[in-house]
Parts: sequence; C-alpha cells; structure tokens
Amino acid sequence: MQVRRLTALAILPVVIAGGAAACSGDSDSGDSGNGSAAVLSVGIGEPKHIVPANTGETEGGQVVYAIFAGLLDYDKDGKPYNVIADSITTDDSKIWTIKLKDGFTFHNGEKVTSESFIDAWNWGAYGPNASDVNSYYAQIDGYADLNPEDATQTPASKQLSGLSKVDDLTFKITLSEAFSDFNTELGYTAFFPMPKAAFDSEGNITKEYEEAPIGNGPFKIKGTWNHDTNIETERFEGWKGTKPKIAGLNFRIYQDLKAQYSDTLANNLDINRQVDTSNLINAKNDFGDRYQMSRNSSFQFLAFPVYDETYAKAEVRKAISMAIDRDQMVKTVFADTQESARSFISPILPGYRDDTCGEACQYDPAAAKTLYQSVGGPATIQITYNADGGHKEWIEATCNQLQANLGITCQAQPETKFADMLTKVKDKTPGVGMFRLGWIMDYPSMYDYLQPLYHTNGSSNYYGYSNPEFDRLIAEGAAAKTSDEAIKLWQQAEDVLASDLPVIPLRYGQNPFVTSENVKKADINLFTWVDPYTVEAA
Amino acid sequence: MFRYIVRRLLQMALAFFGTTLLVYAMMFAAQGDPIQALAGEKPVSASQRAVLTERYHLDKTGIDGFLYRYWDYVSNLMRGDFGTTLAGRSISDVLQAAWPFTIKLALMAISFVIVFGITAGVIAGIRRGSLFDTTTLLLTLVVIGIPVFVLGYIGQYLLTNKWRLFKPTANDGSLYSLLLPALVLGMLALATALRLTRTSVAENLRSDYVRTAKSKGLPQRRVIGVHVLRNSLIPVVTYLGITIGDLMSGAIVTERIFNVPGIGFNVAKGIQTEDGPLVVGIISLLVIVYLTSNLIVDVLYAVLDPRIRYE
Repeated sequence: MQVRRLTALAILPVVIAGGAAACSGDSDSGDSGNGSAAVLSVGIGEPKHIVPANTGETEGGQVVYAIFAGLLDYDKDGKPYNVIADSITTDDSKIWTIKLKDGFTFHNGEKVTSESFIDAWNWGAYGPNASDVNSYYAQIDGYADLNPEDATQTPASKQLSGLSKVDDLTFKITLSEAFSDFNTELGYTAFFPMPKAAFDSEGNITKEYEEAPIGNGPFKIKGTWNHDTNIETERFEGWKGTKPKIAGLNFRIYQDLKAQYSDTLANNLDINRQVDTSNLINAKNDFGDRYQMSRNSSFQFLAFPVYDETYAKAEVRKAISMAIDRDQMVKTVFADTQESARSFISPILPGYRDDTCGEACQYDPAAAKTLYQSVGGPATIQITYNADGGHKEWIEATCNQLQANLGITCQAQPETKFADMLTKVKDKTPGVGMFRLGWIMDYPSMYDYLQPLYHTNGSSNYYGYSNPEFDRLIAEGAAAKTSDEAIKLWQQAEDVLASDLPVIPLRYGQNPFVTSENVKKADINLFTWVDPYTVEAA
Repeated sequence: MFRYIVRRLLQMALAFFGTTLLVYAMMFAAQGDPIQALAGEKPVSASQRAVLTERYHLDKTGIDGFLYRYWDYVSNLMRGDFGTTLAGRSISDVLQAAWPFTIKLALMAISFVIVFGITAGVIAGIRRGSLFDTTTLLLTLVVIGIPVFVLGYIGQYLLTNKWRLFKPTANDGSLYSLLLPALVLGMLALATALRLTRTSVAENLRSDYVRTAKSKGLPQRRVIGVHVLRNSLIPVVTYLGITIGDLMSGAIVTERIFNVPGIGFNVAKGIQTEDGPLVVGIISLLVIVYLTSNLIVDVLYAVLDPRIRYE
C-alpha cells in the first residue's frame, strides 16, 4: 500500500492495459465460447480498501479494477474509450454531460444508474469521510462546501453541487473551472460507481460492504476479503462488457515481492505483477518468454533548486544534462528494465513527442565541459537522494559521470527517508544541491505531468520553477474546447521547459513481470494492474 | 513460592508500562506527518485532516501531547481496546487472524528443536570426540553463523524452486506448507539447544554422582536416562522457555520470506508502513507473552531442581 505519486522507489509497481488483442480462446481446460473454467492467481500487497471511492493505492486498485467497471477505460496508448458511458460530451470543457449505456447491473442485480455514480462521488468528496481519493473530486463544483477551510466547521453540504441527475441514464458534471482533459480522469477507479446497497441509512459505507464490495465489473467477490491471505473472485455472468476468458481471479496477498517471485517460479502463483529488483538478473534465465515488460507511467528525473544561485543559469543545467550518458546508465545499472528519457512527460501519454529536450539531453561530454567552463559552473555539486528507495547505485554512477566529464567534484548525499528529503527541499536548506524525483500519473493526460511538476503553484514543484509563459500555456490548454487543442498548447508549454530546463529527464520506467506455466497471456496496464479482460489460462 | 510469584507479577506490571512507553515513544518520534504519509503525496483537505487527526489521537503535540496520547492509549488498552490500524482495521481482528499462524509455526519449530536438538545433543554429549560429535559441532557452528534471512532464502530457493520438495510460501496455513518455514525458524534454536545439551550432558557425565551410580552397578540406560538427563536439562529448559517467547512473538524475517500472515508479518508491515497503532498494539501483547513465559520458566526451574528455592 505504499504507492505515492511522487515515487520514492526506483522501480514501481506498474502494468499494461493491453488493447483487446484477438485471442484464440481455446484453452484446453475451458468450456468453449464463454471463457475457460480456469482460475488464475495474481499477487498483490494487502490493500487498504477495495471500494472505489476510497481506494488510492495500486494494490487495492487492482482488485477494484476487476470487480468494478467505470465510465471509460484506457487503451495501451493511454487513449480513453467508453465502457459504461455511452457518450461523454461538453461544449465548454466546464459542463460535461454523461450518458450511460442501458443494461449494466451490479452483482446484486441493481441497475447502474446516474445515482450510482453521483452517490459514490459525493461520499468520496465529503471531507469528514476522509477518503483516500478525496482530492480527485476537487475539480467538481461544490467541492469547497464539502471540505471547508475551517476544519472545526461541519461541511455545509453532503452533495457536490456540480453533480446533477438528468434521468436514470444521464447526468451532468459542472467543474469549478474548465478543464479540457477532464474526461481522461474518469477511467480512474475513484470515479467508478457504487450501488445503493453500499450505504447505510446515514449514507456511510457499511462494514460488510467494505469487506465484500458488490461491484458492477466482470468479476464478483466470492465470500469476503480474507485479510493478509487472499481475495477470491469469480466471473460475473451478468456482465455486459468484454467477456473475460477465465472463470475467476484469486488475488493472493503477499508482503514481499521476492516471495511472489518464488511462488511463480514454482507455479504456485500465476502472475507476479512486478519482479523485485534482486531477481531481475535471474528472471530471464528462470522464466524465458514468461518474463515480460509492460509500459509504465513513471518518469525519473533530476531536479535543480532553481532558487539557488549556483544553478540559476540554464546553461549550467544544460551542461550537466549533456554530461550524463543516459543510455549507458540504463544498460549497466538497470539491465535495460528502464528506458532513457529525452522528453518531459511519459511516452504512454497522448501528446508525447520524442526528444523534446533536444540537444540538452544528447550525450556530448566535450561540448558539455566547454559550456560548463564558459558559464562558470560550480566546482562542487551535490546530488541528494532518498536512501529508502534503491537509488544509491545510479546516483553514484551519475556523480561519477559528472566528475569525469566536467572535471568537477560531485557528492552523492543520501537522506534516510523520502519525506526527509522533501522537507529539506521545501525549506530550501542550503547544500541540498540537485535532487532526484520520480512521478507516476493519476490519469493519462499531459496535464497531470506538466501542472503538478512545473506550474508555479504545482503541488510537487519543489524546485521553485516559475515561468509566466509556461503557466499561461498550461491554463489556456486546460480551458481549451477540445483535447486536441489542449494538447497543442501543452506541447508548446513543454517546449518552454526544454529551454528553461528546471529538471533534466533521465529515464522512463517499465514494469517487469513474470507469469507461471498456467498462463497463456497476461497484460499489465498503465497502472500496473493485470487486465482482467484479456488474461488467459494455458 | 506464592510471595515470589506475587512479587514477579508486580514487577511484570512495571516492565509492561516501561516497555510500552518506550515503544510508544519510539514510534512517536519516528513519525513525520502520518496523515500526509497516509495520503501519499496527494493534497489533504482541512476537514479530512481534522477527522484523521481525531481518529488517530494526533490532536496534541509536544511532550504534553505525548503523555496525553500515551495515557489515552494505555487506558483504552486496559479496556481491551487495541484501537485501529491506520488502514482502519481493528487491531484485535488483526491479532485474532494472525495468532493461529504464528502459534502453529512456533509449535512446529519448537518440536523440531526438542526432537532433533535434544536427541542429537545427548548423543553428542555421550560420545564426545566421536565423528558424530565433530560433525554436529561443525554444522551447528555454521548454522549459528549464518543470518536467518540467508538460511531462509537459500532454503526457499533450493528446496522449493530447485527440488520442489516444499511449497515456497505458506499463506494457506497448511501444516505441509509451514514445514519449511518452521524448519528455518527452528534451526538457530535447534543448534543452540544442541550445543547446550551436549555441554551439559558431557559435564554431568564427569560428576561424582554419576560415578557413584555407575560404581553401584546401575545399568547405563538408567544412569543416563534418570541421573544425567534430569540434571542436564535444567539449562536447556530455561533456554527453551525463552525461545518459546521468542517464537510466539513471531519471526519477522521468516514470516516475511515465506509469506506467513502471522504476528511477525504484521509487525513488519506495521513498521514498513509506519503504522504506529499496529506496531505498538502488537508489541504490547508480545511484552505480556514474554513476561509470562519467563515467569513460567523460572517457576519450572524450582520444580526441576530441588536445590532452587524462591522465598
């Protein structure tokens, strides 16, 4: 349950949402046509919650994703497509009209209606419910009434004024400010529906529901959640969407990724969604073709304290960037489980372009040294990193490259915990120097990278970067009428970053996973979840 | 004897408060902002923060706040309320689900220790200097020298992945799947018990009363079985008592490697996720287990050895 948007770890749990690849569904143990009778097991960590409006970490998200279904889902390129939604439309990016397809029901037979969504979101947005995904609803009009600044006050309302039911299958969402890519958020589990049966008379989620949620997805819970042991599901025959190809998923709970790996090797577990770092070198040998990579939204970079005189000149930052040999690092330190990054957003996003960083991210030690000396770069630099995430090796390798290529002294400085490092950076403690950060997305939109990381008021802009031109482009993109228009503006904003270089892109993550001999096909999506629709038994 | 037990019980109460205070203080000091940690790096709204602050008794800070919260915690504990984990699950439920695994594992491990450790120790003690003695001496040295996580991973790799004799993990709790973790867990105690028994037996074999017993013509079986063994086992029993406390408290490393969802597994999880209430709750209970098992051992001592008197 330890996943954060700003990633503390070098390698993150992630997955691939495989597109609907054509699968010949003739597994030998199956009743033909309607998917096989096989049940596959998937390794997860103990979730915190498994109800949509309260689940903000990947382990619980995996379970929610199998037993619930949302308005839309994402294909493997991060593009949204409708699932429960029939259409999602807007004229001004402020008022969104959602029409639902008829015929979807929850596992208890209750129809999926506008209210299923509205009730769930209202619950999540209501401050005193302290939902883990509370902040996801912040863009919807009326959020402030449910989360008063003065915490001693009882919120004025329990309902988001921005959500209004038109009829059973239509509802409107009004945002407090226009946001052209709002629809891309709606595929996240926080926006999944919940049935009336989830709530007691006072509108709280019941204890029973927490332990055995009734969903609307392709699988339904069998029994209840066996804490620390497993969560069993079986195929829901009333599901109207893409039919799964297996009879059930058994989510087995582990604390240690290494144990998942061993179990998968012994065919005792079917899918280990993420191979732990120490087994990466053996995985190819142990599993052969059953060791695979999935794409992942993580983006690793080095940030400069731009408020610090030492790094104030963009040329200094550029020279440092040019002195780092990304490709060699990926090969030697990461055994090709990550990719070199030369843009400021993840390649899984619509709107991504190769090499936006340009010359600054091309390895050229000679030019770097000349530039560095001509602008009078500092003779000693520091790179701070968190020691709790397995970063020591590559930070030191980076430092060595900088020493050799720029002829300077570089010190790698560990901080015990990620939070400690952030505190130091927030306080602008002198001597921190450059520092490492990573980012994984909440939803596949350029906005989710550019705004929080580089906007003047960005929630994770720890380096004090501020450029009015950049901020303007971000805001204009958000207010654009269509997603395409927005992407154009945001791409211009990305170009501003390339010349200012507040951070230097280093690597994109990939997610290594292994499967047992019982698995014919498994896709891991952008959120590191096993795709329940395409997974197939051998 | 009665007065002794009462005195020990009073000491136990003191020790209990002392240890819980210490553990509570340490978890308290290690915590940064637990609410922000809970939310990952996502924004936390003011009213959300207020609710969580109240739920986890974080409302007072500084020394006053600490004492207030500790007192709050202990008084709840006295009423049998362990509180909830930061994930919102009742800690009593967590403990109830975890104990059976740990108890099973501990009992299996201790059986290994008694059956193999003591038997081999007695044999080695009688046949000092024999091949058997030298071999066990060497093996136990190796086992004592290797950290348990190395033993665990090697055992898991060789016995499950290479030779497929056991199951790699044990979260179904079946006896078969617990066999390997119990073996790994008991290994260190087994080695120590073996060495202890051997030394003790060897020493007693040289004592006067054994010579007397032999010279008055008692059969070897009786000399060893009654005279030597009974006297030799006193230190071993003490050791086993402490070991049971140890094993019951859950093997953090072993349970983690073999994915046994017992007490140690939950302590590790609590520490990893900085879940103060969970860690303190479990440790409070463990303190009681330890103190009780120690008391029982001390009392047993007097039963085994009439020379020992508690007054």
